[in-house]
Amino acid sequence: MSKSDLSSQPTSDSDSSPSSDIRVGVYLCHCGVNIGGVIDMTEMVEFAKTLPDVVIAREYKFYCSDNGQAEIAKDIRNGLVNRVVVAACSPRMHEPTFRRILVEEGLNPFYFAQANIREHATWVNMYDSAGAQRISQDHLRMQVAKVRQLKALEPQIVMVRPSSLIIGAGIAGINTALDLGNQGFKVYLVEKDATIGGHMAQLDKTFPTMDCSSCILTPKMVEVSRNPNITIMAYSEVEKVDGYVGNFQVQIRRKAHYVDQSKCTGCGECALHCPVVVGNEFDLGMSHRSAIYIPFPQAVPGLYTIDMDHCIKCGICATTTVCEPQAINFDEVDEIETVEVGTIVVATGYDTIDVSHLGNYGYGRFENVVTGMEMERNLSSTGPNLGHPVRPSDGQTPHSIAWLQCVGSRDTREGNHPYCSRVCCMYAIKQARQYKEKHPEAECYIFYMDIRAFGKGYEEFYESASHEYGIKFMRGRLAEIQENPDKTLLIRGEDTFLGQPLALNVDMVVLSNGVEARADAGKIASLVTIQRSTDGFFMEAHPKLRPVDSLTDGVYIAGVAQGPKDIPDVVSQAKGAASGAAILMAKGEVEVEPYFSIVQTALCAGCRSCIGQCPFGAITFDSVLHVAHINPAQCKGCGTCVSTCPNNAILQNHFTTKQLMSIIEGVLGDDRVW
Amino acid sequence: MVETTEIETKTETKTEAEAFEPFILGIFCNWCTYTGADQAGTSRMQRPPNLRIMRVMCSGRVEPEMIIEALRRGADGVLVGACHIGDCHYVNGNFKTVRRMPVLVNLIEQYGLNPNRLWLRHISASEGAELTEIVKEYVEILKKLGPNPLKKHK
Amino acid sequence: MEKIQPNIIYSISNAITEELIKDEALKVVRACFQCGTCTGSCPSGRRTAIRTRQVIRRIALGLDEVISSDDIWLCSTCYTCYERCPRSIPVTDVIIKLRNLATQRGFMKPPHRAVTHILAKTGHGVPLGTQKGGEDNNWSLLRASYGLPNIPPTTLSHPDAITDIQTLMHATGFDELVGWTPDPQSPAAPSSIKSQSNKPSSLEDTLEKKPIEKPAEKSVEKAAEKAAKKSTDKSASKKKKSAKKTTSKKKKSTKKTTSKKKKSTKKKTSKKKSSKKAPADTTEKPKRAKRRSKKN
Repeated sequence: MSKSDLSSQPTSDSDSSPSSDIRVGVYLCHCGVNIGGVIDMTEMVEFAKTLPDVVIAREYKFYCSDNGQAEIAKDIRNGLVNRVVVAACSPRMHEPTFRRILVEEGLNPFYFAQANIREHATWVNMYDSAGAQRISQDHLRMQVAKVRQLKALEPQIVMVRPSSLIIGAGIAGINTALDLGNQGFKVYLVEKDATIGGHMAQLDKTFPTMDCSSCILTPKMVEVSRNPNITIMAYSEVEKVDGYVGNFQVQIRRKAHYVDQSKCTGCGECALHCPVVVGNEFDLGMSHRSAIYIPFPQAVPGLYTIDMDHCIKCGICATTTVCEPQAINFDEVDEIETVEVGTIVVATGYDTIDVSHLGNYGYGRFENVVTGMEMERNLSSTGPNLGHPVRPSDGQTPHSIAWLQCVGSRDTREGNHPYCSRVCCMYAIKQARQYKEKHPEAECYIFYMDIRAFGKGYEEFYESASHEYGIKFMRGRLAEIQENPDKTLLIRGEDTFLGQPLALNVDMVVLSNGVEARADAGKIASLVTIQRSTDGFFMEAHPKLRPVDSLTDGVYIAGVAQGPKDIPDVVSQAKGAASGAAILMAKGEVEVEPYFSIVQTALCAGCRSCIGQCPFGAITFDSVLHVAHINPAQCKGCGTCVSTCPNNAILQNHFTTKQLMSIIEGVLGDDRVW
Repeated sequence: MVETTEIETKTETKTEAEAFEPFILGIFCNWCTYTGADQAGTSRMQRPPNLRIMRVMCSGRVEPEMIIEALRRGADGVLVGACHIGDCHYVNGNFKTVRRMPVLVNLIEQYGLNPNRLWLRHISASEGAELTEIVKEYVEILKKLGPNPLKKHK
Repeated sequence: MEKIQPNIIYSISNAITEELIKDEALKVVRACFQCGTCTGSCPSGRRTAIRTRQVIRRIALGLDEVISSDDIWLCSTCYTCYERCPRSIPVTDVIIKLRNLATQRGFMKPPHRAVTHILAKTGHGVPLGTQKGGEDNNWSLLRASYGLPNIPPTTLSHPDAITDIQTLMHATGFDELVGWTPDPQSPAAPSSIKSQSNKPSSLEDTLEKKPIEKPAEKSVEKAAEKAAKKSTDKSASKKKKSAKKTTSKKKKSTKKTTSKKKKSTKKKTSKKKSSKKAPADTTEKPKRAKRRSKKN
């Protein structure tokens, strides 16, 4: 909790005029051809040398490489420079890399500034060298001006609690929880449904090995429930997240089960007596359950919950003859539980795309048009039809089934998603194969645009689907589905290989709908302050190098919450996220950038304007000295108070007014001629 | 669309106006717009070479003095980039910006500058394309507006 | 059975595609991933040979043959493909634009051409009964029952306007394109305009303003009024506009070889006249070849 000694922090901004012993080294990185191929680096070097206090300007192919780093280190070691500016990629990418050089050479890491001339100049002006050069020069001006004003700061060390919060208990959350729990960290596994398991529990078999999904998932679910380090918080939702990396305070709403979870034995007698019949969400409404229920027999925890939206409060379940342990409690209320954790893993999964808006496919109007997940439950031996899919209209076994790919995904129209959902091709082939196994005489068509069989063993799986099973792959997206009077379906499209329109009568159509971000993804994102990509999924810190980190320190992303993936990828990412979180927690402490704000008491007039501005309650008022005081541990370093202070009494480390003003002066300086 | 309410210092010939490349100072918040600008870069979204980007941790940190100073020193436009409302990394820093900037726009109008010299835009970390569009639009408007009259000339 | 050709070499020129995607909204045509939704949706394609997907494919690939094909004329512009395209390609708009480009280059169906000839002669695409005065015709009685003058205020009541229309057609080079020459008896176009006649123009505007169907009388009246109102001063401004629209390539060639062009124009018209009589399929190919060679 405690932040490092603050006495070494600068308390005044007044003496920060550049003194004579500032020697700035400018290092211009070619980044291969990314920068060097667009702008003239020799000219940049000459330009850099004209900037104030610059004593050295060098260029090199890759400054992030060993040799490049060594060159900077050598200059510092030889005392040639004591301020470093690297003009290269985004500081979000390599700032830590270069700061480490300064630390290793005994220089304060905050005497470093990075001019972003790749993402913000050469990459956005690839065909305009002169323009890119102009922007690069200005960015260099700005950073050289800033580096001259920079102050030495001590990085802050904060403790990391050896505990983790995992939001979402699907296959991603379960794997992360197990990996962290088995390493000895305390894990709180929060799940909004009454059971853990997520979407994977609904699947029948998994491609390409045709493993039974429950057979590989349920042991994991049981393992989670048995692990002493893991606390399952099912039927709960995260309400509020406070704090920062290493020290999050999380409020979790434990929704009322109306069944005392400590007394319930999961015998199921109550469900037998309950007179209410509602559609079971687990089977997508295709089977029924009572108002007091567990979602499916293998649910973990297998304890009952009353669905108060449908309960008629008849009280039958509460009688002692039905519930011997007297677990039913209609007066139960939601509880808020607060846990303190060091890291957070977001594994909230996905929603399947709602396809009812696609009028030409008639989902919702035509009984025999079903979605992929409905077919999955139909095929499941634990599903509503015990593994023997039937036509919804008449309960007969369908002779011909058509799967239609890319429904709702790879579609740029409003209400659909332009991305590829990555799982639909394979699950459609899998379902067709499963159906063919049961009914070899059946006709199975898969209407596709491209088959994306990219995983290990996937292409072979695809090959055998047509080769061994005779599934007919039809290249072309269906244009429309019409219902015949006998409820069979007339499908129209084009066989693009033959180049002719086709019309075909089938008994059933499966719309292979893709996945999309959870409807409440925005809520989760703002709870844990992470970003979302344009597709709605949570955004990783770097698409290639940091795929499980979020932009917020201490918060990791796992599973489809980050983007569409199949089970092997989800598990890999979950393990990656667990590893990321474990690194922080095993070390027990983490360095955070000391960008907090400080009140210069001599200047503070005690107007208290800043107090209301702080969203974290970090500013208190010292009524004795009549000044504001900022608690550095609570301050997250946004600097809103700084811009509010009418006396300029507050300064934010590394972003002081003087430093920011120097950037503006540097780039729009007095000597600049237009 | 753009009314020139500015003090016209001198009349320019057409060629000069065409050659005019506006100087835009972008003050971007670290978590949304700066990252969005990075994303625009990694996606190679081409935009006119007029935007210089300065990073602050939160758009709430943007002081009116900075904008006034930039305009006083001859920047043709200042583009403040903030997170979307509700997405702020610091809970609500951008709320404060949203309330501050219109006042500031009024102020710079009183100074005799065109209100378009200051733009506040909400650009999230994944909206590189939006940023590109905004910059294109802003450059166009500033080109019509002509150089900042406070600019020092040769 | 056709003889096997050992090499089928694509002649990808991109010329039509480049022209098409000048319209920013149509640029997305290049994103087509050939899913076939358009063909599958096409009510015309179920009965005719149009394969919408293949039209788009030719555009995406840059095969100029697309504008000479019959396919683009088989579209009923019902916009079903437009609604359903997962890549949001404005398929119908693309086809309409292609028709414009095809017409500009002289690829027209004989009936379409015939309609333009009728227009040039009468000022109406679908002429009204041509009895002198027309008092006894049903349409004139109908007009009278609505309290309208018996003869609409079109070229019927203003025969002079026919000259205006012809002048317009001549000024834009449309007459040349459709192979129409005025009768020797009828008043020919003023010589002042003749001098500018060699400017080949974008016929987009002309085509758009020429309604092919004129079902209701009111619309007939409007269209006719339009035609009548097109006085010479208006046509002058239009000339400028159309001249501007002309591709630079063409401009150059016009400037350089005005005299040559005149000769070739004459040749072309005569050819077209003869082609009119022959079936379209047989004439179109050689015509194209000629045009190509001329360009080269």
